Amino acid sequence: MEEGRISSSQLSLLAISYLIGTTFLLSPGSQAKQGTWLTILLGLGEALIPVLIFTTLAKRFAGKSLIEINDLVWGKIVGKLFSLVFLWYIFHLGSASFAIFVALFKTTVLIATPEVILLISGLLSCIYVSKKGIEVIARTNEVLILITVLLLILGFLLVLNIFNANNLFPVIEIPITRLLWATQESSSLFGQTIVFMMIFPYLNRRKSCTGAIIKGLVVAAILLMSSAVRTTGVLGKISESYIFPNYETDRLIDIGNTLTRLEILPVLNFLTMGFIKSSVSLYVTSLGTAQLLNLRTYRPVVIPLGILMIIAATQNYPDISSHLRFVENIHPIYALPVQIIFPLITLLLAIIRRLPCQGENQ
Amino acid sequence: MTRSVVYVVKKKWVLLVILLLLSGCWDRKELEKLAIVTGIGIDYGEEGDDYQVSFQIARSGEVKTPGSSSQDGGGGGGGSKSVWLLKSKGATIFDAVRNATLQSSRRLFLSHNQVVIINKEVAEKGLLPVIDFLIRDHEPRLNEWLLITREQAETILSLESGLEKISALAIADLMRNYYLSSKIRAVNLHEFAGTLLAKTTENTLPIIGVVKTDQEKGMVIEETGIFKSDKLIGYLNKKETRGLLWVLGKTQDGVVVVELPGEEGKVSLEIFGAKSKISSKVSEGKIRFEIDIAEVGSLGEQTSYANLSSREKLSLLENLKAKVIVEEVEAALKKAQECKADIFGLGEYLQRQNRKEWEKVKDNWGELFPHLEVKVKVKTKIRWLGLLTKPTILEQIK
Repeated sequence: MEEGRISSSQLSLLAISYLIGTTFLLSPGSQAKQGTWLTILLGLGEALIPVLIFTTLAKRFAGKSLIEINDLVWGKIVGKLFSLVFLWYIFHLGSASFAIFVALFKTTVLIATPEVILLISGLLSCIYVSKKGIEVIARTNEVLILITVLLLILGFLLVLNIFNANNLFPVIEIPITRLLWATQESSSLFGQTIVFMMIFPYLNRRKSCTGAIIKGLVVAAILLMSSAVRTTGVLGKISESYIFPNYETDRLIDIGNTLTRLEILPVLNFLTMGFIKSSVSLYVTSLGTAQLLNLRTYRPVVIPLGILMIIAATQNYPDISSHLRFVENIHPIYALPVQIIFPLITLLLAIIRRLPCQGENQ
Repeated sequence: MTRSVVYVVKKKWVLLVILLLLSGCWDRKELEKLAIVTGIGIDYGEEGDDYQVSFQIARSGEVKTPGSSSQDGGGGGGGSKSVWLLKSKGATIFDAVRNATLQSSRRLFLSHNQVVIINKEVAEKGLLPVIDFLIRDHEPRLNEWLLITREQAETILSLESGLEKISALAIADLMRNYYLSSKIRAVNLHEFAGTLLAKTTENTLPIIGVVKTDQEKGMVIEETGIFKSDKLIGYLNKKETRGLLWVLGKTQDGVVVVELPGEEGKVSLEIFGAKSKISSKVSEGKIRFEIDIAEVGSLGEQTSYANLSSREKLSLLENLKAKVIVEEVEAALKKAQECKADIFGLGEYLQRQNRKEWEKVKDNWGELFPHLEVKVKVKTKIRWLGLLTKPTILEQIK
């Protein structure tokens, strides 16, 4: 079904891109105002729980994807149900990143371009790369993430002259309950790495998955925190009023009245990282569907699923405010079953049933 | 084998051609089809509620760099103006922007706008309805300068600057060079909107006016307006404006003039830089603030005949200068307290330094602020004397 193999460092890089893909623009925990970076840090700590659970599961069934594990542990019928929920979740993440892509381009750079053109051109490249397989996605990502990180560093250096450290204090201005909620919000973001449960079987060293994912999480958290600090430092109080604070930050860059109007930088970052996020989502959804339906290859389902994904993107998020509400209020709870509850009970049942049996492994 | 290679190469070329032909954005804007707006003026229209928005549009053909054409330099009044003032009416600002295209053959392009000049009456009623479009829309930038005027805003935009072809650019440069006198409180849209969101801090904006000479009119920054939330409620004169800048730590340059006791003439002391530190103390339920200002400067000019270069004289001058600075700050404080507007952001310092006390008073800050006890301490230093050690006159003659 998939012959490619990726290394664990490629997996880490993929995890970074997947995590900063859309959140670079819609920062998680931004309701914590100046404390956004803190909620990202706390969220990273909290996210270690789901990550450890599902990587333990993956190591126990080395070489098996989540779909196959579900089948093994829960039997054909219940297992397929669990897999279906998981696939829907990943499908939904993919459509969400398409929706943010449209929202960003329609409000900032390509206002007059019809939505459908944006979606189709984005989708075509995602379909192309998904059909090529995980190796191609991983290698593309290696180049793109290099550009992204360089641009992020450049973006940080360029705002030093308008950075006001006073804006960062007081760190916690919101009640503790909202802080916890914001933490859960960013934790549910990091938990999205469960998508790699479908990719672990293609690692060339299967035991290294935990380390690779955690490395990715930490680097992504550092990038997100630095971008949050940059945004609050430059924008101050007003950053919470903006839909895309990062974009606004780059609009304010002014080096000697000459180097200005660099707001295309975050758009570029989003374009590359969002592309990886959508592609991985599409790839995993297709691969999972093929495994679910016992197809010989996943390639025929890439195009139909991609089309469904962009339809879902336009239907699920008719406007940007409902999208923001989803990210802030619904996703932290919505993600819980897929990210923690299902892997946890699957792992427990596997331990009780003493699965996998000796010799069945590998 | 070779055929397939040729096929691949051909396919690449086809793709490349497609890439070149089909790329480009839907709403591409060609430079010659754009009306580049450099300044926006906002007044109320004649009938009550609607706005009259004036756009200063650069005539790109007429704007030449000085010296590039010899005919242009000598003419003075000759030739067409390098800007076009377009007036348009609408129920809202955005409405007026689009209504402008009823008159303009080109689409208005707001990305290069430099200044927004707002009539005093509009500012007294509230600025939020005016600036929302400027922040929300993707074209205008957040670093455009906001100014208030007592005149009609269109009058200010119709004035000609002495040196620049486009007066909006001249106003923007006035704002950027505020520090030369440190008597202008330059505020851009981003800062204004950020302060609007602050719980206790209030905004200030510069007031621009008209200065008349025999033949022509020019523009001048007169004073500073004090806002309560988004409404204009009071004014700081130039002295008080600098008092505000001292506290904000924005005084970078400028001149302090002091009079020497017992001597004739005055001394101009140049400011080389200043820092301010604000600390809050709470004792027995009372909030006290201490503003420490540390300034460094030089002797810039003297109209007196005395030799001022000795350390004792310099210390005397330093004390005199400190007194002037304290006076300026206290004047600004007094005016702000009269207006019940915390333009210095003292509340935010309290929030950072005494969190508990702030929680108690934050909702009542406007009422509390006028009764605050604020101590101003100024340390000044004169480190340089310019290029002279003493006045160029023989001491006996005096």
